[in-house]
Amino acid sequence: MMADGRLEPKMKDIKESHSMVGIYLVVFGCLTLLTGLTVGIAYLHLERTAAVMAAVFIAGLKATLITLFFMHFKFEKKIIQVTLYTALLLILVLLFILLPDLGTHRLGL
Amino acid sequence: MDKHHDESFIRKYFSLDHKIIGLQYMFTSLVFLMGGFLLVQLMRWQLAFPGRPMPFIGRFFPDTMAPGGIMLPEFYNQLGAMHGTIMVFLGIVPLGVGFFGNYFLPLQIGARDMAFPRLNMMSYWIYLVGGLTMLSSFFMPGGAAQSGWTSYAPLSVTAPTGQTVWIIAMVLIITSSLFGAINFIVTTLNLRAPGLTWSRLPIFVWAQFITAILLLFSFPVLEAGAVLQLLDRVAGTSFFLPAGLVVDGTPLDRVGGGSPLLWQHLFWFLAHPEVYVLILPAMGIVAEIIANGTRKPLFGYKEIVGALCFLGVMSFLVWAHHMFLSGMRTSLSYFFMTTTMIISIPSVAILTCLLLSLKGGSIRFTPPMHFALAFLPLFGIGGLTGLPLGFTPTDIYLHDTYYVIGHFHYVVVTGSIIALFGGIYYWFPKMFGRVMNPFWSKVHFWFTILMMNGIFFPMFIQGMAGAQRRLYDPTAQLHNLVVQPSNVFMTYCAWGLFLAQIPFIINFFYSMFKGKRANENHWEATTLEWACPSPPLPHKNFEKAPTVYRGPYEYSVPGHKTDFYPQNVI
Amino acid sequence: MNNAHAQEVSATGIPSGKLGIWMFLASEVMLFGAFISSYVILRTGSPLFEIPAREMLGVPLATLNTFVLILSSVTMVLALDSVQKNNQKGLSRYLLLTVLLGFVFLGVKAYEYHHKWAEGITLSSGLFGSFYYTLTGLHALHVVGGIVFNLYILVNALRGKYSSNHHERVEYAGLYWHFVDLVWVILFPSLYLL
Repeated sequence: MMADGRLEPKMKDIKESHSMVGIYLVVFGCLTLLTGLTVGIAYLHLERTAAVMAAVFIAGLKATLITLFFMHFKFEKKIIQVTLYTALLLILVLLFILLPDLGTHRLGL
Repeated sequence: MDKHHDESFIRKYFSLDHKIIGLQYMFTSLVFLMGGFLLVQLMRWQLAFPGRPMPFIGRFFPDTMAPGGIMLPEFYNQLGAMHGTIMVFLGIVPLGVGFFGNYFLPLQIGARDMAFPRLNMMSYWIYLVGGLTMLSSFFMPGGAAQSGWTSYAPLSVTAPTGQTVWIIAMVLIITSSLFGAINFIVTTLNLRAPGLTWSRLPIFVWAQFITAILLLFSFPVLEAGAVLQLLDRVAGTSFFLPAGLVVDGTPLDRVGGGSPLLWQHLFWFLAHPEVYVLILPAMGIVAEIIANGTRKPLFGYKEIVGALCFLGVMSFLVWAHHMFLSGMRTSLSYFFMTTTMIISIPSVAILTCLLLSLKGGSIRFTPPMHFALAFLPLFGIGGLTGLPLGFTPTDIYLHDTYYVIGHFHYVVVTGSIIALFGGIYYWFPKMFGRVMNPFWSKVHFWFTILMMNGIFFPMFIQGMAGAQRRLYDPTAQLHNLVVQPSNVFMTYCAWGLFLAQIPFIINFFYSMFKGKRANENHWEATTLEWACPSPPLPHKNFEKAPTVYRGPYEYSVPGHKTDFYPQNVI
Repeated sequence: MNNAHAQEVSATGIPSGKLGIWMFLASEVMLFGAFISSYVILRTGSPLFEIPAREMLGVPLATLNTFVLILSSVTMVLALDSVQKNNQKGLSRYLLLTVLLGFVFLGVKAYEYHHKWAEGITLSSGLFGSFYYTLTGLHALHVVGGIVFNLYILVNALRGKYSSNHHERVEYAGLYWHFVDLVWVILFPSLYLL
């Protein structure tokens, strides 16, 4: 049936119970640390695969933190989450179908 | 938002009312459709009578296009590229989505307007500017884009200035569609009338909704591709240019290292979902008309909805079946061959459901019903002839022949355009409060159907005989001479098709002002758009916001006094 | 987008504006996704993808810029938090800070461009340069867009247009701004560190 009419109940509840400022500052700290970490790792001259994986992992982590907390994605309704996951999935499809076709010159495949 | 109700929309160019924006879309896209059709008329002359000067109109072309009325190969290529682009991006999509979606989606869900009226208006004006930009490319030095509507690199990167204009126009058109898509999705999600659950949505709304989702996710990818190609052309980058390219005997001064195949992938990632953008609204319209014309519920409403959703998902996973000849890895070819076979299943399911809906119905042979009924077999031909193109072994033989053109045009012309015509006839009473003359509608129908088949069916035969597409002079290859007489026949049919549109145009404008008056529910239909006055009230549509009590196709309900039971009647 | 239409209905329970901005962001994900995919594909696949030495890329400045953008994201959420608590002064102060940080980012970016161009990394010097300027340029355009959006919100905030129960626009501007930040978080390692 039609929606319950309440606007974003989850988010309202959170705000009324306690302020989010603490969370924001913790996230900020994490983001700063991770930025430092990824730069640091880059100067370690790791093996190529490991370096790429570390950078991708950290970037993904940072992006996730921003989305979940700054953009309040964690508290959004399913429809918004589904939309974003779809976009992400389609990009991965594009990337991983194209990679074996075009992106493997160096590997000699 | 202005509230004064001015009946004359001509004085209100920048309206925010979804109905007026819809009508603006309709008139503009019909003009573009006609324009694209006229371009192909010129091509057909060249194909039937290669090297002969064009009669009457030949003298009006400058020497850069057709000296002495004889078409130059470059001009032929421009016509081909612009015909494709105009028909797809400026004709059918704006008609099927921009017009039908804008006008009838809010009405069918019982909304007063779209969710973002201003964005809606912007998307129309951006589309118009994009369209005019596209047309202006004919006046560029070197003429319009001539690398086909697919604009494959590196040909397109080294083409004359017209291609740059093409890209800019495409970016505008894409932006416009994107705005439209966001608007449609939010409108469908948020503005449904009370009681209008997902299982009570008309198929047309479902089709538009899924179309909007396809647009939202696929268009940005081409936008990215277009920007990269633009930079390749104007900023000296080489995203799509391999090293060591030689153009006209001189080596190209670029670093190179790019991949032409990347463009093909980016393009088809958009352009395959685009095919479903062309056909889904048409399917929605046909479903509406068939339910109304057979006076019974659609066979398998849930199955149709499921198939539509599945089509939407799968349409993102089949794009590279356009590229079997590009030297793609075999494993990828297998993947795309399989997904292509899978995607044919939902299309067949929808068509079968619509066909089975006819069984046991007391069919009313109204003009829109004619078009809907013609859609079924003709789209069937279009779909089934696609199967050999989905298999690599047969595709390698057929791909660069007229067979592909025949297949595509059966899907889009005898499929989409026929259904869109049906939609115009079906909803004309709602838009203008008058009915189009049934006799002339049927004249239009029969001649259009005959001529369309006359043009496109021989293409399959030509293709299987090995006639290559995109050739300026079909007689240049000896084996083509066998099928050359059919080219002449097709050109006559193309003229016939042009003449067949005259009854439509006259009937349209005559009926708009002088046609028989229609009441608010002319076809005795059940969906919500028939619950408001004809034409709907400016800026609010309904006298009183409707509430929905039942499914969309409650025809011939036992025990009810009439054979239709509208959604909004208790 | 002054959608003052009288439709309060929302079948999903999410305001239309918010749903719209998320749909827009989804399409932006596709846009940037396509660009970044192209970059990854050519970088791994092209035989002619020359990567300049790290010293030429100016990692310290880029790191600083990353920090600036993250900081601006924090000030943006703090602005939202202020208006949710009806703290008008906090709202305008944090918004102003966000805008200023945006300008700092652009300034550093401009310096980087100038420097790199002088070093011979140009749009047409090779695939890396092409991608570098295209990706960061597109991102910079989004930053400009975000600054304009934020300035508009700031002007309205100074006029006292937002309150604890009417601040949707602040939230939308925030969503967009965080997205721009997020894109940079992904661009930074892929262009500078790898």
